Amino acid sequence: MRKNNIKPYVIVLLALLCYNLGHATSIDSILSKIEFKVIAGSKVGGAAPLSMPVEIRKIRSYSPANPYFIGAGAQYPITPKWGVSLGVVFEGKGMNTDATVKGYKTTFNANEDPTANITGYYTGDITTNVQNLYISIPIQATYQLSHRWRMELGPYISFAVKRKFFGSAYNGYMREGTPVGDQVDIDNADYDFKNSVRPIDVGFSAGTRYGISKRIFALGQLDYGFNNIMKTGFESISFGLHNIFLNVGVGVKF
Amino acid sequence: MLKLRPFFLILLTVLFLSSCIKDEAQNMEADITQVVIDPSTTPMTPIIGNNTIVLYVSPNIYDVTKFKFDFKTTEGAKVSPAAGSEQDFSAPITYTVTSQDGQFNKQYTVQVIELSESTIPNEFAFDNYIIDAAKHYTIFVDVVNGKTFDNWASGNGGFAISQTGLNNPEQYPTTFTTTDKRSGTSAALLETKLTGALGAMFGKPIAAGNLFIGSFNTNSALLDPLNATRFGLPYNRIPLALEGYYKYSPGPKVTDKNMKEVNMADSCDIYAVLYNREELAATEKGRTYLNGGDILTHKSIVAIARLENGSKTEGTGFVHFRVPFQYKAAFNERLVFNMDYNLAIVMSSSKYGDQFLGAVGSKLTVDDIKIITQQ
Repeated sequence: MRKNNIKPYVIVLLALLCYNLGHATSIDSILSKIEFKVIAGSKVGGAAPLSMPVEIRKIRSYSPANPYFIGAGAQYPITPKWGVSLGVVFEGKGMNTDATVKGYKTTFNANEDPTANITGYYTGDITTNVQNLYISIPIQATYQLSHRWRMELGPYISFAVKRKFFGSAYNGYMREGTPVGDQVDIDNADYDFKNSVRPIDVGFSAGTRYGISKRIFALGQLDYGFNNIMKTGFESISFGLHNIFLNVGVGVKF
Repeated sequence: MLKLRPFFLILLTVLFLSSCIKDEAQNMEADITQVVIDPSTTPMTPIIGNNTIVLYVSPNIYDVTKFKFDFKTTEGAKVSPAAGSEQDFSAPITYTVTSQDGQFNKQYTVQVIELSESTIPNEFAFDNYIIDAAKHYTIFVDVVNGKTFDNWASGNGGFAISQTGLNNPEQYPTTFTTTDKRSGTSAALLETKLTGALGAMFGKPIAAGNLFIGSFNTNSALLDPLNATRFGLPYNRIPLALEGYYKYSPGPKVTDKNMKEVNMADSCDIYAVLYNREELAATEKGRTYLNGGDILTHKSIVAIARLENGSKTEGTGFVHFRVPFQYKAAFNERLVFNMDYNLAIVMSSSKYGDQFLGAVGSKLTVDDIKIITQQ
């Protein structure tokens, strides 16, 4: 998927808004139709490559990091079935992994001193800890499938409020520079890429919610980040990483 | 009802990710990993660097003009000339290794040395050196009867890994000096230097300038530097004394491996060790060199000649030293002549640099070293 895929959805949203505003009778009638909600839940996923890179030979362990979200939003029905919603969500997007890699291009650094690092091809075990916190603004089109089921689709923009991307290599060796460079054994070599994490993440989410009672609903939603979470020009990992998460939670509407 | 528990989701994710693991890519490495040769014909285990291989062979066994040897490579690599092919090793031969994926290749200079005579001369003027083409550091060599021997090694190869942007031999702890020499065209200059943040991360914040007869194994440079220094090469004379000229100016502040200041003055170290290599190999699973951990203590050591006082030298000129070999064990003269023994000469700008205790800025300049041998 590419970034310009976002456009059709934005156009649909705008069209729906224009249609509705043209027919609104008064501010009061708009406000009375708005449904407010608060949501919270857990998530699973990670900063993941689009397909498994060939460098990764084995995933030894995986757990999501800060796998929580809490948010609030408002939904406005434009027609009995269609509506739009806008929200603000505070969420963690991260993972802690331990993998065995072969010929994995990376950089080990210390104190973020750019003059003191080893760049090359690493073979061995490596931990990756991504622990980013974001404030996200989702804009979604909603469609009421039935009395209980509602679909929600739309783009989001996330602002990183805390960036963490670090790890350690152990029980392996580095080929300095190229795969035929000097070989040096590596253990407990740390890296820290937090300054290379992109402060803004744009993506698309698709989800559904199920009304449990009049006020309470359950929700499931897949978030997919369009951009690499690392800044352009970051070459210490040879493949792009995208925030891909499945959110599961509950909400209260009022 | 949605009752997916986080644990279940995690499990699903792991299963999903694991199922995506791709078939292993073809190997990118292009190494000769091992030389396969009858060990009874090679006094030293073949010394394999990243771009050099030195094979010491016993005399009168092989014809080096029609020499062939077998070797192992990283998986799938192709080598030219092929393993086992006959070559004329009167001069070094270049082997080219291409990785299994065909994307990378590297060259090895392979030297076969027939040990009818030790490659170690009696005099060292430090006038002959080469500069490493890729890393720009100094490698001192000995030229004996027109042949060049890589007798000398240093920790420069390890220093190169801990730093980026090194493009001048002077930036390294071990280098040459053409301005501060006693005779000839140059002298050896050893200076204790900071290894930078990366070295500090591995608990090795400083690197003493060191220069020794033997080889340096880059693999162990960061994790196990004592094992990276491999001291000694085959020797077939009976040494009586080590002499030469040096000057030493210690740096102002000695620090330990945590860069904490230690209240002592830095000193230099110059010594030579004769050890029984065959005894060492017999007791240490075929190891044919002493390393940083046992160069002064191993029971195979026969004699040591060591500068007694490595503190600051008077004035600005070179100071002469002459230290006798102190024999601590009996030796078999016939086996010495048979090249069963190794000799190492070791110099360092910080005596305790192997423990990362030393003063940044300590400078040891050495020139015109001689080994006085029994006639």
